[in-house]
Order: sequence, then C-alpha cells, then structure tokens
Amino acid sequence: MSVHIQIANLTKRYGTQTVLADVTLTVPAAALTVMVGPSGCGKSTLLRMLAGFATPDVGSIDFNGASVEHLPPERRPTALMFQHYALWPHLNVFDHLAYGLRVRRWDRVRITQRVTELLDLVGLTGLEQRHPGQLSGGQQQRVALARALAVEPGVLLLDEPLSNLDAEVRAELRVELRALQQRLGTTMVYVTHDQEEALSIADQLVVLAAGRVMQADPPAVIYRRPATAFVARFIGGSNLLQAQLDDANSAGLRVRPVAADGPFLVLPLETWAGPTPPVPGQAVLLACKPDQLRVDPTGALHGIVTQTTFLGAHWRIGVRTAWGGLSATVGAASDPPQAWAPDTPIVLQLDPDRVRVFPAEMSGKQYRDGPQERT
Amino acid sequence: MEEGGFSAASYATILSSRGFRTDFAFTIALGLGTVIGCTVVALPLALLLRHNFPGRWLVWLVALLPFVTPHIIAAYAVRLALSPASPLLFWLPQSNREGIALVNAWPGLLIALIWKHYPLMLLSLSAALQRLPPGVEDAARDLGAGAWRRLRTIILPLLAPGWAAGAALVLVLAMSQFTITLIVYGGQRITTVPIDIYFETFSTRRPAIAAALGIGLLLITLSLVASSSWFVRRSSRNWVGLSAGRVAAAPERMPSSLARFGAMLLIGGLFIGVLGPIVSLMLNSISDQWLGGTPLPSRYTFRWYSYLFRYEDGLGALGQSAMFALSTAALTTLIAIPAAYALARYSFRGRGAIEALFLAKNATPVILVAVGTAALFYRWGLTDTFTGVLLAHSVGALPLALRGAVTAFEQLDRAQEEAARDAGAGVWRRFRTIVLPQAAPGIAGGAALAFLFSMDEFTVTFLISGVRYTTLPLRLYSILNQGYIEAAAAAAVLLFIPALLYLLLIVRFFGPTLMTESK
Repeated sequence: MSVHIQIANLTKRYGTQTVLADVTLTVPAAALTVMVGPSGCGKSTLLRMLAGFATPDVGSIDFNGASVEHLPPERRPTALMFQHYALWPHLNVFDHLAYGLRVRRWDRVRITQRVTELLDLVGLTGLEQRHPGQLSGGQQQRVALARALAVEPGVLLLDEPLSNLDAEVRAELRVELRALQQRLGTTMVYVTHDQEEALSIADQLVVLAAGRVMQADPPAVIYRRPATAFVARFIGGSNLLQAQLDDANSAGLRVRPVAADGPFLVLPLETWAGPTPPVPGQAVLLACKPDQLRVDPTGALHGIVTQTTFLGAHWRIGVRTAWGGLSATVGAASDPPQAWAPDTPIVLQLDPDRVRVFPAEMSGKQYRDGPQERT
Repeated sequence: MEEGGFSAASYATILSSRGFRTDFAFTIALGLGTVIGCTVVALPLALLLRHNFPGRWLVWLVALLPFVTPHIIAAYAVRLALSPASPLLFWLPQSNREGIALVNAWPGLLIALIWKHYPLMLLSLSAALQRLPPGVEDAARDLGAGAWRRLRTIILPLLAPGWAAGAALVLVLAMSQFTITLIVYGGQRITTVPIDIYFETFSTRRPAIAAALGIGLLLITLSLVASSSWFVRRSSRNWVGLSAGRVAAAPERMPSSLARFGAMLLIGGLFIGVLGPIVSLMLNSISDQWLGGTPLPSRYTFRWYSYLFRYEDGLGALGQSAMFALSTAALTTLIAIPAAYALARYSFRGRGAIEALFLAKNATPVILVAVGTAALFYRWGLTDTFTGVLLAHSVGALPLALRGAVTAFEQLDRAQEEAARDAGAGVWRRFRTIVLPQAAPGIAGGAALAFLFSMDEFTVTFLISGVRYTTLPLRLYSILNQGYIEAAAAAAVLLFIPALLYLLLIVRFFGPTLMTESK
C-alpha cells in the first residue's frame, strides 16, 4: 500500500527562528520525491514532521486523505531511515530487521522468513549475526534501509541516507536505492543537500530555501526552467548577471548591464520567469548555466579572464564582464589554457533561448549565498 | 601494637569463626542491598533528568546533595531522621515511633548507605544516557515500539555497562564504609567487616586478624571491580565504530498525564527524602528543646552555636579543617600539575595509568588504607602531627586532583602548543601562556574536589590524630558522643557550607554531569 501525502500550510517556529513557513506540497504515491536545499532550509524538519518526531505549529499533513498530525511516530505508517542510521549497538543484524515485526506480534516462523527475504533484498545474507560495530559503512546503511523496509511502510523517509559514505559507494548505492523504489512501488521521501544526487534519482524534486518551497517539479524541469534565481543558482550553479530591463515588448526583452553603459542584449520574451509581467526600468537577473556559454569571437559578452581551473573533463574559466563576474565551462579538448591566461580578453556567446530572466528583488539575498559546499 | 609474622593461622581463625563468616555475609548483603536501592532510586531519576523541564537544575541540585554531603553529616542526618524523635515521623503516634527500630539496625544502615551513594549511580547512568548514539530511541519508536518496549529493548540494554561501572563503585564503597556504619549502626552483635577491622586493630589488638580480615575484604572488592570492568568491556565490545557524540534532541511531545504524575511523585519523594534529613538537622542546630513529634521546633535559639564556639572550640576546629583542606588542595595540585602534564603529553599510557590508579583507589576499602596509614605513622611518629594529617589527606585526595588536571590537559589540542613553539616560545612560556590559562578550570575543579575530600575526611584522621589536631568532623563526632545533638548539628552546618557552595556552583554554571569526571 503506497501512500499519497498532502501537506498544507505547514509552519514551524523555534523561538524567533522560522524553520518552515507556510509549506504546501503534494507527495505523489509510489514515486520518489527528493527534497533538496542548503543546510538550515527546513528539509530535515519537514521529514521529521512526516515521521511524527516534530509537530507543526500550523498546518496539516494528510496521508491518503486522513489527517495524521496528531498521531505519534509509533502509530504512523512511515519508516524513517536516519541520517546516522541510529543502529542499535547491542543488537545484531537479525534483531534489527526483526524489531518492527516483533512489535507487530508476527510469529517466529514468519519473522525468520521475512528477515531472510530482506537480507537477500539488500545483499546482507550471511551477516545476520554481526553487530553494527562489525559492519562497514555501506553495510550499516543497508541494515538501516532493510530495518525500515521490514515493516512494509506506506511511506519510506530517508534523511541524507548516503551522506556518511565515500563518493564511490554513494554513487553505487543511489542507483540501487532508485531501482529498489521502482521495484517495491513505495512512496519515498528523500532528503539531501547534494544537488547531483537529487537530480539523478527524483521523480519529483522539491527545492527548499529558508523554510519555503522554491519549486516542486520533475528534475528536468527544475534544471531547464528554474522558478527563481535561487533555484537557478542552487541547481546547476547558474551565473546570475545583474542587469536592467530597458524595454519589454513583442520583439523581446532588451537588457543592459547595471554597472556600465555596455552593449545591450535582446532576449526572447519567453525567457521572462517573473511572477508578474516585466516592467521597463526594473532591475533583473539573467541566469545562465556555465555550460551554456561558449567562447565565440562574435559573441555579445566581452570580458577579461580572471582565473582558469582544470576540472578534468573541462576547463572552468572565470570572466569579469560589465554584467559582473561569471564562469563558463569549456571542453578540455578545445583550446590550450594559454589562450585563457589571466587578464586575456575573451568573448563569450550565450544561447538566448536558454537564459532565464528573474526580477532582482524577488530573490532577496538568497541567490548570493549560492549552492552549499558538499560535505 | 605487636608485630605479627606471616602465617596462615589468622586466616584459619577467621574461616573457622562463625561470627566473622556472618560478618562477611552481612557486609556483602549490605553492599548488594545498597546497589539495588541505589538503582531503584537513580534509574527513574536519570530517565527523568534527561528531559528538559523548568527547574531541572534545582532537581539536579537536590539529587546531588548527598554526593557532596560529608560522610559524617550524611550519617548523622539520616540517623536523626530515622530516630524515634525524628520530625519526619511526626505523623506517627508516639508509641508507633518508639516501635520502629531503624537506627542501630540493618534497615537504618542500609537506608543511610543508599542515601549517601545513589548520586554516584545517578551520575553513572546519566553519563551513559548522554552517550547513547543519536536516534536509537527514535528508530525504535518509528517502528512502532511504545515507551515500555523502548525502555526494555533499547535503553536498558544500552545502559548496562554504565550501570555495571556505577554498581561496582557503589558496592565497594558500601562494603568498605566505616564512618556511616560507626554512627548509624553502633554496638551490634553482627557488624560489618570494616568495623571488625577497626576493633581488631584498636580494641582487641589482634593486628594479624585485622590484616587477614582486610585482605579478605580486599579480595572480594577487587574481584567485584575486576568482574565489573570485564562485563563493561565484554558488553560493549561490539559497540565501537558507531557514530556517537551528538546529544539526541529532547523529545518534543508533551508527556502523558500519567508520566507527569509519576514525575511529580518522584520529585516530591526526592525532595522529602534528601532535604528532609538535612533541613531537620539544620533546624536542630537552632532549636530549643525540640523533642520530636512535631514537624517544626517550638522555640528557636542560637545558643548551640555559642556553646560550640565557647566550650567546644568550634572555630578552632573549623580553622584546622580549613587549614588542612587548603594545604591538601595546594600540595596535591602542585604535584598534580607537572605529573598530569607529563602523563597527558609524553605518555600514551597516561590515561590508562590514571584509570588504573582510580580503579585501585575505588577497589581498596578506605578502612584498609586508614589502618595501614595508622600503623606506619605510629612507627614513624607522625601521629597527631600536621605533616601526618596533611600526608594522609593528600594520599586520598591526589587521584582527584590528578584526574582533574589530566582531563584538562588532554582536552587541549597539541597543535596549539606547536603553534606557540613555531612562533618561538620556549617550554616554560608555552606552558604559562597557552596551556595553563586553558587548563586552569579543570585544575581548579580537581583542587576543589581535593579541598572537599579533606574537609570530609574522618576515617584516617580519626585513627591518627585527635589531641593536637582535631578537625571539625572529629569534633562533631566527639560532641555527638557526649549527647549534645543540637551542638553537633551546629558543627555539621559549619562543615556543610563549603560543600553546598561547591554544588551550587557546579550545577548552576557547569552542568551536573561534569561531576562524572570527578569520581
């Protein structure tokens, strides 16, 4: 049985600090919803509220149409996979997987059968007598997952389940997790601060910042059509160019740099991403991803190279322009880096169809904080 | 005292004596009873004090009061509270009060031992609760486990090692207790081994028997401590390698009304049980002809204090106690600073050495140290001298000062000193400008404990001094023996003040679990 979750107007304050502000969100049944955002954005609190470990000040949570916010964690159809696993040091693997079944008064034979099944499912067969302290990080992660799956939860909640693992294991396990979810058809809510992880496994991606939902859409939509400058910056690391809107008409948006009387750009009207129609004279931000910029002598962005960084598959070039600083990625196979030595003039072309234009006041300070460093 | 050669004869005497066998059995039973009682009191308290509630610090303060109460005061306060004249029993008719024989009987002694020692168990259990890996309880709850099941299947098994460590400590202290037994349980046919040792040494003058009794007691306590640390290591063998450290957030939901009622009951019981004896002791010191049977004295007076100061040299005794306590704190700290620094910095086994020292101190019955010290001091002519008392106090207090300093030095990042060295500072300058300022609170904490230890010390001082040097506990005991219970209460109040100040400071500003470092 998979559960459809409806969250409405959820608000939570701790003292003067607002952790969640009026969050309304639908979590579709049998899908994988990923919540992503910088630390302190409220994503873990939201997850703990779904599990029942935190109570909302205002708002409602419905599971398949029935309100659950007054149910304690032990009476909700959720199972949480804890960030640091919260394995029980005194119990072996078998006892971990059997715990929830014993609570539900299953008989011994069925428990053994179910645990054997689970061990097979997560690839831990033969380790049932081990204690958590005798397992590797990846194995501990599997025990935590199997323990949560054992009770066949209506919703499986995962709190940064891969953050404790090294990069290689992480990439491998995230593919497994995704495959498992599709096989079992469980509703899953997955919290992470890693945008790459979020993009790669989600059916629905929810971007949170400062306790608000910035955007909830499939990953491809979020990547291509971010709803706010913050989302553009956080997912895909867009450059945000500060500009002023000179004119907006059927021919398009005419923008020019705030700082200088530089050359203007004309962008298609569809690039406008504000909630209200554009007003000539307003300050705007142009969002474009580094991989959407090309080195092109006929381009419209003139600048000076400030820094060149080798990233293996490509070069990242920092450029100072009249629009502010920005970065572009160029394939490693193209020009040798000498061409982009610091202080060299450079001309970049941007693809006008893939730029997004946001009203500047909308994003507040958030876009400046940029994406979180991965830990 | 006669010189006794080595022979197995005294062991044969003990083994063949029914009285000694009974006394050993009684001592062990008393120890086990104390452990059970301490667990019954401390476990619910530790579980309660995990939660955050208004006034929690006050509950901590009261709960830890017996921990800092000098032994002789603890014994005297409980003795008063359990006697027929007890103000706590005012609600019982006179005849019934005469009827219950708690004092000078094993139930009174057991209650006094539990009263004095349960805070050690509380600190042990609280520390173990704090060390629980984050989320273990939530994970069980998430899978549907109710409060009792979580307690039974998750919390109690994980507390077992912490409990075992606390239990061993309490067991040894209860089995080797001298002061409390002397005051609460006098002149009985069946008695404890420490009292036997005292009588065999000083009354019947059979040092060989006393020594054999001591060895027997030591063997028992050593094996208990060893099996406890074996159990601790065995049960937590597989627990390594798990992320711990983050303190789990306090549960946010309001507890059920039943749980709240239980908590109120527990706090009420704690306040009456701990404050009752202490407050009635204090009231005794300012009461005039309080014959018991009423909850409060009918008339108040300060004449017991003037009696204490005029006829019992109370100020002189207080001055001597303060002098010995200050000297002990100074001497042990002076030894502890370089020793602890060397152990913390230059030896990887420093921590192990201190732990071993502590284990040895905890496993050795105080009465053995006292009798041994007394025998040596008689031979060396150190009895009733300043040096003798200071030495005796310092031997007991040194592990306390040492541990405070080692902990303080170990918490300092070595890289800080390396940075100072890199900047050109020599050994002395590095120590003076970088190490000492940061380690000072820990060192001061150790010194404070050494001070309190010396103020509290009765057993050894009682055996090696008493004419020229009479500390306040000795004076209190002698007033008590003369039957001036109000004057003794006045002396107890004086003796109590430093301990109270210390406890208030710790609980209010540093957090009560800081004390787990100290014992």
